[in-house]
Amino acid sequence: MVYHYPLMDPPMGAVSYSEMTKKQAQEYFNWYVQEIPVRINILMGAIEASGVQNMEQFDLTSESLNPLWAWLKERIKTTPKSQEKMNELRNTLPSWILEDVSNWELDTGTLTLAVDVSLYFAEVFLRKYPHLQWDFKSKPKSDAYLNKPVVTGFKRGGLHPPTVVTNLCRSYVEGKQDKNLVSLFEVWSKFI
Amino acid sequence: MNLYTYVHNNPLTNVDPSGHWCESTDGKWAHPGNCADGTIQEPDYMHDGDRLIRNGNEVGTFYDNNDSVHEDNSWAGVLFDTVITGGFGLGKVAVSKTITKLFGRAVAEEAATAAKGMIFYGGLAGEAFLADLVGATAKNQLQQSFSTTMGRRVVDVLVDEMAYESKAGYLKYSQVAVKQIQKDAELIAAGDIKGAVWHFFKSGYTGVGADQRLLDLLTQNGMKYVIHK
Repeated sequence: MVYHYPLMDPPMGAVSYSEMTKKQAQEYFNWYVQEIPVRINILMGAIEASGVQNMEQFDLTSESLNPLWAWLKERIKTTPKSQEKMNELRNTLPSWILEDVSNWELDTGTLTLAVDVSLYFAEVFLRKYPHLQWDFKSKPKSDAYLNKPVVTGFKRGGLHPPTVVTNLCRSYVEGKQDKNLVSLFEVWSKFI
Repeated sequence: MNLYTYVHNNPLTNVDPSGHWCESTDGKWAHPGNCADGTIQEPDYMHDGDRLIRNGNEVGTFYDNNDSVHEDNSWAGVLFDTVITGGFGLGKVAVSKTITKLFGRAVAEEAATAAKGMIFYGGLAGEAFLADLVGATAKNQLQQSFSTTMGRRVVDVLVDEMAYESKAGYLKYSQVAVKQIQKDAELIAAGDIKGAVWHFFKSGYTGVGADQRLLDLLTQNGMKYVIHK
Protein backbone atom coordinates (compact mmCIF):
# COMPACT_ATOMS: atom_id res chain seq x y z
CA MET A 1 0.00 0.00 0.00
CA VAL A 2 1.37 3.38 -0.95
CA TYR A 3 0.76 6.17 1.50
CA HIS A 4 0.72 9.65 0.07
CA TYR A 5 2.54 11.79 2.55
CA PRO A 6 2.13 15.54 2.11
CA LEU A 7 4.88 17.99 3.01
CA MET A 8 4.01 20.92 5.21
CA ASP A 9 2.63 23.66 3.04
CA PRO A 10 3.23 27.12 4.48
CA PRO A 11 0.59 29.61 3.36
CA MET A 12 3.07 32.43 2.98
CA GLY A 13 5.46 30.63 0.68
CA ALA A 14 9.15 30.13 1.24
CA VAL A 15 10.10 33.00 3.48
CA SER A 16 13.26 32.22 5.39
CA TYR A 17 12.88 32.41 9.16
CA SER A 18 15.93 34.61 9.36
CA GLU A 19 14.34 37.11 6.99
CA MET A 20 10.91 37.29 8.60
CA THR A 21 9.46 40.40 10.08
CA LYS A 22 7.94 39.98 13.50
CA LYS A 23 4.48 40.09 11.94
CA GLN A 24 5.39 37.36 9.47
CA ALA A 25 6.91 35.30 12.26
CA GLN A 26 3.70 35.61 14.26
CA GLU A 27 1.60 34.54 11.27
CA TYR A 28 3.89 31.60 10.62
CA PHE A 29 3.78 30.67 14.27
CA ASN A 30 -0.02 30.72 14.33
CA TRP A 31 -0.17 28.55 11.24
CA TYR A 32 2.52 26.17 12.49
CA VAL A 33 0.89 25.54 15.86
CA GLN A 34 -2.43 24.93 14.14
CA GLU A 35 -0.76 22.38 11.87
CA ILE A 36 0.72 20.28 14.66
CA PRO A 37 -2.27 17.97 15.28
CA VAL A 38 -2.73 17.66 11.51
CA ARG A 39 0.88 16.58 11.08
CA ILE A 40 0.68 14.08 13.90
CA ASN A 41 -2.43 12.59 12.30
CA ILE A 42 -0.65 12.29 8.97
CA LEU A 43 2.25 10.56 10.73
CA MET A 44 -0.08 8.15 12.49
CA GLY A 45 -1.71 7.37 9.17
CA ALA A 46 1.67 6.54 7.68
CA ILE A 47 2.58 4.30 10.59
CA GLU A 48 -0.69 2.44 10.30
CA ALA A 49 -0.33 2.14 6.54
CA SER A 50 3.11 0.63 7.02
CA GLY A 51 1.52 -2.36 8.72
CA VAL A 52 1.86 -1.56 12.40
CA GLN A 53 -1.02 -3.30 14.16
CA ASN A 54 -1.03 -1.91 17.66
CA MET A 55 -1.72 1.75 17.00
CA GLU A 56 -2.97 2.22 20.57
CA GLN A 57 0.62 2.23 21.74
CA PHE A 58 1.07 5.65 20.17
CA ASP A 59 -0.72 7.39 22.98
CA LEU A 60 1.52 10.47 23.31
CA THR A 61 3.20 9.16 26.43
CA SER A 62 6.96 8.97 26.88
CA GLU A 63 6.71 5.16 26.63
CA SER A 64 5.33 5.51 23.12
CA LEU A 65 8.57 7.13 22.00
CA ASN A 66 10.21 3.73 21.97
CA PRO A 67 8.09 2.17 19.21
CA LEU A 68 8.01 5.51 17.41
CA TRP A 69 11.81 5.61 17.20
CA ALA A 70 11.87 1.97 16.15
CA TRP A 71 9.58 2.89 13.27
CA LEU A 72 11.43 6.04 12.28
CA LYS A 73 14.97 4.67 12.35
CA GLU A 74 14.03 2.02 9.79
CA ARG A 75 13.07 4.79 7.39
CA ILE A 76 16.08 7.07 7.69
CA LYS A 77 17.59 7.59 4.29
CA THR A 78 20.44 9.73 3.07
CA THR A 79 21.25 11.19 -0.28
CA PRO A 80 24.60 12.47 -1.59
CA LYS A 81 24.96 16.20 -1.57
CA SER A 82 24.82 17.51 -5.09
CA GLN A 83 28.10 18.31 -6.81
CA GLU A 84 26.94 21.88 -7.01
CA LYS A 85 26.39 22.05 -3.28
CA MET A 86 29.76 20.46 -2.55
CA ASN A 87 31.47 22.91 -4.89
CA GLU A 88 29.81 25.80 -3.14
CA LEU A 89 31.06 24.51 0.18
CA ARG A 90 34.57 23.98 -1.20
CA ASN A 91 34.63 27.50 -2.54
CA THR A 92 33.47 29.17 0.62
CA LEU A 93 34.38 27.21 3.72
CA PRO A 94 37.91 27.30 5.09
CA SER A 95 39.76 24.07 4.35
CA TRP A 96 39.93 23.12 8.03
CA ILE A 97 36.16 22.99 8.22
CA LEU A 98 35.68 21.40 4.84
CA GLU A 99 37.61 18.30 5.89
CA ASP A 100 34.87 17.47 8.37
CA VAL A 101 31.85 18.30 6.27
CA SER A 102 29.97 15.20 5.21
CA ASN A 103 29.12 14.53 1.60
CA TRP A 104 25.63 13.28 2.42
CA GLU A 105 22.43 14.70 3.84
CA LEU A 106 19.11 13.33 5.02
CA ASP A 107 16.70 13.02 2.13
CA THR A 108 13.46 14.95 1.88
CA GLY A 109 11.33 12.03 3.02
CA THR A 110 13.42 11.50 6.11
CA LEU A 111 13.33 15.19 6.96
CA THR A 112 9.56 15.20 6.57
CA LEU A 113 9.12 12.19 8.83
CA ALA A 114 11.64 13.51 11.35
CA VAL A 115 9.85 16.83 11.62
CA ASP A 116 6.49 15.17 12.18
CA VAL A 117 7.99 12.77 14.71
CA SER A 118 9.50 15.79 16.41
CA LEU A 119 6.06 17.39 16.71
CA TYR A 120 4.82 14.19 18.35
CA PHE A 121 7.88 14.34 20.63
CA ALA A 122 7.00 17.91 21.61
CA GLU A 123 3.39 16.94 22.26
CA VAL A 124 4.55 14.26 24.67
CA PHE A 125 6.33 16.95 26.66
CA LEU A 126 3.40 19.35 26.53
CA ARG A 127 1.03 16.71 27.85
CA LYS A 128 3.32 15.62 30.63
CA TYR A 129 4.35 19.11 31.72
CA PRO A 130 1.47 21.56 31.36
CA HIS A 131 3.61 24.60 32.07
CA LEU A 132 5.45 24.12 28.78
CA GLN A 133 4.14 25.94 25.74
CA TRP A 134 4.89 26.81 22.15
CA ASP A 135 6.42 30.22 21.56
CA PHE A 136 8.95 31.94 19.34
CA LYS A 137 11.73 34.47 19.81
CA SER A 138 12.52 37.37 17.53
CA LYS A 139 15.55 38.51 19.55
CA PRO A 140 18.47 38.33 19.61
CA LYS A 141 18.97 38.14 15.87
CA SER A 142 21.83 35.72 16.42
CA ASP A 143 19.57 33.20 18.17
CA ALA A 144 19.87 29.80 16.56
CA TYR A 145 16.10 29.43 16.55
CA LEU A 146 15.23 32.94 15.53
CA ASN A 147 11.51 33.17 14.69
CA LYS A 148 11.15 29.40 14.82
CA PRO A 149 8.44 27.85 16.98
CA VAL A 150 10.03 26.32 20.07
CA VAL A 151 8.70 24.72 23.23
CA THR A 152 9.51 27.03 26.12
CA GLY A 153 9.43 26.58 29.88
CA PHE A 154 12.66 24.62 30.26
CA LYS A 155 15.52 25.82 32.45
CA ARG A 156 17.41 26.71 29.32
CA GLY A 157 16.59 27.85 25.82
CA GLY A 158 13.56 26.52 24.02
CA LEU A 159 13.31 23.06 22.54
CA HIS A 160 13.27 23.17 18.76
CA PRO A 161 11.94 19.69 18.06
CA PRO A 162 12.81 19.49 14.33
CA THR A 163 16.46 20.22 15.03
CA VAL A 164 16.90 17.76 17.88
CA VAL A 165 15.14 14.92 16.06
CA THR A 166 16.91 15.45 12.74
CA ASN A 167 20.21 15.54 14.63
CA LEU A 168 19.20 12.28 16.26
CA CYS A 169 18.66 10.83 12.79
CA ARG A 170 22.07 12.13 11.65
CA SER A 171 23.72 10.57 14.71
CA TYR A 172 22.01 7.28 13.92
CA VAL A 173 23.36 7.35 10.38
CA GLU A 174 26.83 7.91 11.80
CA GLY A 175 26.53 4.84 13.97
CA LYS A 176 25.70 6.39 17.32
CA GLN A 177 22.95 3.93 18.04
CA ASP A 178 22.86 4.46 21.80
CA LYS A 179 20.80 7.59 21.27
CA ASN A 180 17.09 7.43 20.65
CA LEU A 181 13.89 9.37 21.29
CA VAL A 182 13.59 8.03 24.83
CA SER A 183 17.13 9.04 25.78
CA LEU A 184 16.50 12.44 24.19
CA PHE A 185 13.32 12.77 26.24
CA GLU A 186 15.29 11.93 29.39
CA VAL A 187 17.91 14.56 28.63
CA TRP A 188 15.30 17.27 28.16
CA SER A 189 13.34 16.11 31.22
CA LYS A 190 16.36 17.12 33.28
CA PHE A 191 15.84 20.68 32.09
CA ILE A 192 12.33 20.84 33.53
CA MET B 1 39.57 60.19 23.48
CA ASN B 2 39.13 56.54 22.78
CA LEU B 3 42.32 54.67 23.54
CA TYR B 4 42.01 52.92 20.23
CA THR B 5 40.92 55.63 17.86
CA TYR B 6 43.90 55.07 15.60
CA VAL B 7 43.00 53.85 12.17
CA HIS B 8 44.48 50.52 11.15
CA ASN B 9 41.91 49.33 8.75
CA ASN B 10 44.23 47.22 6.64
CA PRO B 11 42.49 43.95 5.76
CA LEU B 12 45.73 42.13 5.15
CA THR B 13 47.13 42.80 8.59
CA ASN B 14 44.03 43.18 10.71
CA VAL B 15 40.93 41.12 11.28
CA ASP B 16 37.57 42.64 11.96
CA PRO B 17 35.02 39.85 11.64
CA SER B 18 32.00 41.48 13.20
CA GLY B 19 32.82 45.15 13.36
CA HIS B 20 32.77 44.75 17.12
CA TRP B 21 36.30 43.55 17.74
CA CYS B 22 39.54 44.24 15.93
CA GLU B 23 42.87 42.54 16.16
CA SER B 24 46.00 42.43 14.07
CA THR B 25 47.35 39.23 12.63
CA ASP B 26 50.79 39.84 14.15
CA GLY B 27 49.23 39.74 17.61
CA LYS B 28 50.21 43.30 18.46
CA TRP B 29 46.74 44.78 18.62
CA ALA B 30 43.41 43.59 20.02
CA HIS B 31 40.59 45.80 21.17
CA PRO B 32 36.84 46.29 21.09
CA GLY B 33 35.33 48.25 18.24
CA ASN B 34 35.85 48.06 14.53
CA CYS B 35 39.21 48.36 12.83
CA ALA B 36 38.31 51.55 11.05
CA ASP B 37 37.67 53.88 13.94
CA GLY B 38 37.32 51.75 17.08
CA THR B 39 33.66 52.50 17.61
CA ILE B 40 31.43 49.80 19.08
CA GLN B 41 28.06 49.43 17.43
CA GLU B 42 26.55 47.20 20.10
CA PRO B 43 27.60 45.35 23.28
CA ASP B 44 30.39 42.95 22.44
CA TYR B 45 29.68 40.12 24.83
CA MET B 46 31.40 37.74 22.41
CA HIS B 47 34.75 39.06 23.57
CA ASP B 48 34.11 39.15 27.25
CA GLY B 49 37.38 38.20 28.95
CA ASP B 50 39.59 38.81 25.90
CA ARG B 51 43.02 40.32 26.24
CA LEU B 52 43.41 43.97 25.30
CA ILE B 53 46.68 44.39 23.44
CA ARG B 54 48.19 47.71 22.41
CA ASN B 55 51.30 47.77 20.27
CA GLY B 56 52.41 44.38 21.56
CA ASN B 57 51.69 45.10 25.20
CA GLU B 58 48.89 43.41 27.08
CA VAL B 59 47.10 46.31 28.67
CA GLY B 60 44.13 44.57 30.23
CA THR B 61 41.14 42.33 29.76
CA PHE B 62 37.89 43.28 28.11
CA TYR B 63 34.76 42.62 30.13
CA ASP B 64 31.27 43.12 28.92
CA ASN B 65 28.36 43.61 31.29
CA ASN B 66 26.38 40.89 29.62
CA ASP B 67 26.34 37.64 31.58
CA SER B 68 27.38 35.71 28.54
CA VAL B 69 31.02 34.81 28.50
CA HIS B 70 32.60 34.18 25.15
CA GLU B 71 35.89 32.71 24.08
CA ASP B 72 38.90 34.71 23.16
CA ASN B 73 39.84 35.18 19.56
CA SER B 74 36.62 33.57 18.45
CA TRP B 75 37.02 34.43 14.83
CA ALA B 76 40.73 34.47 14.53
CA GLY B 77 41.09 30.97 13.13
CA VAL B 78 38.53 31.54 10.45
CA LEU B 79 39.97 34.83 9.47
CA PHE B 80 43.60 33.86 9.59
CA ASP B 81 42.74 31.10 7.20
CA THR B 82 40.95 33.57 5.01
CA VAL B 83 43.85 35.99 5.04
CA ILE B 84 46.15 33.24 3.90
CA THR B 85 43.88 32.14 1.11
CA GLY B 86 42.88 35.39 -0.37
CA GLY B 87 42.35 38.41 1.76
CA PHE B 88 40.32 39.25 4.79
CA GLY B 89 36.67 39.93 4.40
CA LEU B 90 36.12 38.05 1.19
CA GLY B 91 35.44 34.78 2.96
CA LYS B 92 32.84 36.10 5.28
CA VAL B 93 30.89 37.86 2.59
CA ALA B 94 31.16 34.92 0.25
CA VAL B 95 29.84 32.49 2.85
CA SER B 96 26.80 34.57 3.46
CA LYS B 97 25.96 34.98 -0.18
CA THR B 98 26.65 31.37 -0.94
CA ILE B 99 24.44 29.99 1.75
CA THR B 100 21.67 32.15 0.46
CA LYS B 101 22.28 30.68 -2.95
CA LEU B 102 22.34 27.19 -1.51
CA PHE B 103 19.00 27.74 0.10
CA GLY B 104 17.62 28.85 -3.20
CA ARG B 105 18.88 25.76 -4.92
CA ALA B 106 17.22 23.56 -2.35
CA VAL B 107 13.96 24.86 -3.72
CA ALA B 108 14.84 23.45 -7.08
CA GLU B 109 15.36 19.94 -5.80
CA GLU B 110 12.95 17.26 -6.73
CA ALA B 111 9.67 17.75 -4.90
CA ALA B 112 8.65 14.25 -4.14
CA THR B 113 10.58 11.28 -2.84
CA ALA B 114 9.33 7.76 -2.75
CA ALA B 115 10.61 5.50 0.03
CA LYS B 116 9.39 2.41 1.82
CA GLY B 117 5.91 2.61 0.44
CA MET B 118 5.50 6.32 1.01
CA ILE B 119 5.36 9.03 -1.56
CA PHE B 120 6.20 12.45 -0.24
CA TYR B 121 4.64 15.23 -2.17
CA GLY B 122 4.40 18.97 -1.86
CA GLY B 123 5.15 22.25 -3.51
CA LEU B 124 8.48 23.95 -3.78
CA ALA B 125 7.52 26.21 -0.90
CA GLY B 126 7.12 23.14 1.26
CA GLU B 127 10.61 21.95 0.38
CA ALA B 128 12.10 25.33 1.09
CA PHE B 129 10.20 25.54 4.34
CA LEU B 130 11.51 22.15 5.37
CA ALA B 131 15.10 23.09 4.54
CA ASP B 132 14.83 26.28 6.53
CA LEU B 133 13.10 24.60 9.45
CA VAL B 134 15.83 22.05 10.06
CA GLY B 135 18.94 23.80 8.86
CA ALA B 136 21.04 26.88 9.18
CA THR B 137 20.44 29.57 6.63
CA ALA B 138 22.48 32.47 5.38
CA LYS B 139 22.13 34.69 8.36
CA ASN B 140 22.28 32.12 11.10
CA GLN B 141 25.07 29.81 9.98
CA LEU B 142 27.70 32.08 11.47
CA GLN B 143 27.90 33.11 15.11
CA GLN B 144 24.66 31.44 16.12
CA SER B 145 23.84 31.69 19.76
CA PHE B 146 22.23 29.00 21.89
CA SER B 147 20.85 29.25 25.38
CA THR B 148 22.13 26.61 27.81
CA THR B 149 21.64 26.06 31.53
CA MET B 150 25.05 27.70 31.97
CA GLY B 151 24.34 30.77 29.88
CA ARG B 152 24.58 31.61 26.23
CA ARG B 153 26.95 29.90 23.86
CA VAL B 154 27.89 31.52 20.60
CA VAL B 155 29.04 29.01 18.02
CA ASP B 156 31.62 30.29 15.54
CA VAL B 157 30.42 28.33 12.53
CA LEU B 158 27.63 25.80 12.19
CA VAL B 159 27.65 23.52 9.15
CA ASP B 160 25.29 20.55 8.93
CA GLU B 161 24.49 21.16 12.61
CA MET B 162 28.14 20.56 13.49
CA ALA B 163 29.70 23.35 15.53
CA TYR B 164 33.19 24.53 14.66
CA GLU B 165 35.16 26.45 17.22
CA SER B 166 38.37 28.24 16.38
CA LYS B 167 40.96 29.37 18.87
CA ALA B 168 44.05 31.37 18.09
CA GLY B 169 46.89 31.09 20.51
CA TYR B 170 47.43 28.80 23.47
CA LEU B 171 44.30 28.24 25.53
CA LYS B 172 45.09 28.19 29.20
CA TYR B 173 43.11 26.16 31.71
CA SER B 174 40.38 28.34 33.18
CA GLN B 175 36.86 28.00 34.44
CA VAL B 176 35.69 30.01 31.45
CA ALA B 177 37.23 27.48 29.06
CA VAL B 178 35.87 24.54 31.07
CA LYS B 179 32.42 26.09 31.05
CA GLN B 180 32.55 26.59 27.32
CA ILE B 181 33.30 22.92 26.79
CA GLN B 182 30.52 21.98 29.18
CA LYS B 183 28.11 24.17 27.24
CA ASP B 184 29.04 22.38 24.03
CA ALA B 185 28.55 19.04 25.75
CA GLU B 186 25.07 20.12 26.83
CA LEU B 187 24.20 21.29 23.32
CA ILE B 188 25.26 17.93 21.92
CA ALA B 189 23.33 15.95 24.54
CA ALA B 190 20.23 18.06 23.97
CA GLY B 191 20.51 17.62 20.20
CA ASP B 192 20.86 21.32 19.45
CA ILE B 193 24.04 20.48 17.60
CA LYS B 194 25.23 17.17 16.20
CA GLY B 195 28.74 17.57 17.49
CA ALA B 196 31.58 20.01 17.96
CA VAL B 197 35.11 20.27 16.64
CA TRP B 198 37.60 22.65 18.19
CA HIS B 199 40.47 23.95 16.09
CA PHE B 200 43.54 25.54 17.60
CA PHE B 201 45.57 27.89 15.44
CA LYS B 202 48.98 29.32 15.98
CA SER B 203 49.23 32.84 17.25
CA GLY B 204 52.41 34.87 17.11
CA TYR B 205 51.59 36.07 20.58
CA THR B 206 50.81 33.00 22.64
CA GLY B 207 51.69 29.92 20.61
CA VAL B 208 49.21 27.19 19.82
CA GLY B 209 47.21 24.45 21.49
CA ALA B 210 45.60 24.15 24.87
CA ASP B 211 46.14 22.89 28.37
CA GLN B 212 46.04 19.07 28.31
CA ARG B 213 43.18 19.07 30.84
CA LEU B 214 41.03 21.00 28.39
CA LEU B 215 41.93 18.68 25.54
CA ASP B 216 41.08 15.70 27.75
CA LEU B 217 37.76 17.30 28.65
CA LEU B 218 36.93 17.73 24.98
CA THR B 219 37.69 14.08 24.33
CA GLN B 220 35.72 12.91 27.35
CA ASN B 221 32.70 14.77 26.04
CA GLY B 222 32.95 13.25 22.60
CA MET B 223 34.33 16.32 20.89
CA LYS B 224 37.17 16.40 18.42
CA TYR B 225 40.03 18.85 18.42
CA VAL B 226 42.68 19.68 15.86
CA ILE B 227 45.87 21.56 16.61
CA HIS B 228 47.25 23.37 13.57
CA LYS B 229 50.96 23.75 14.28
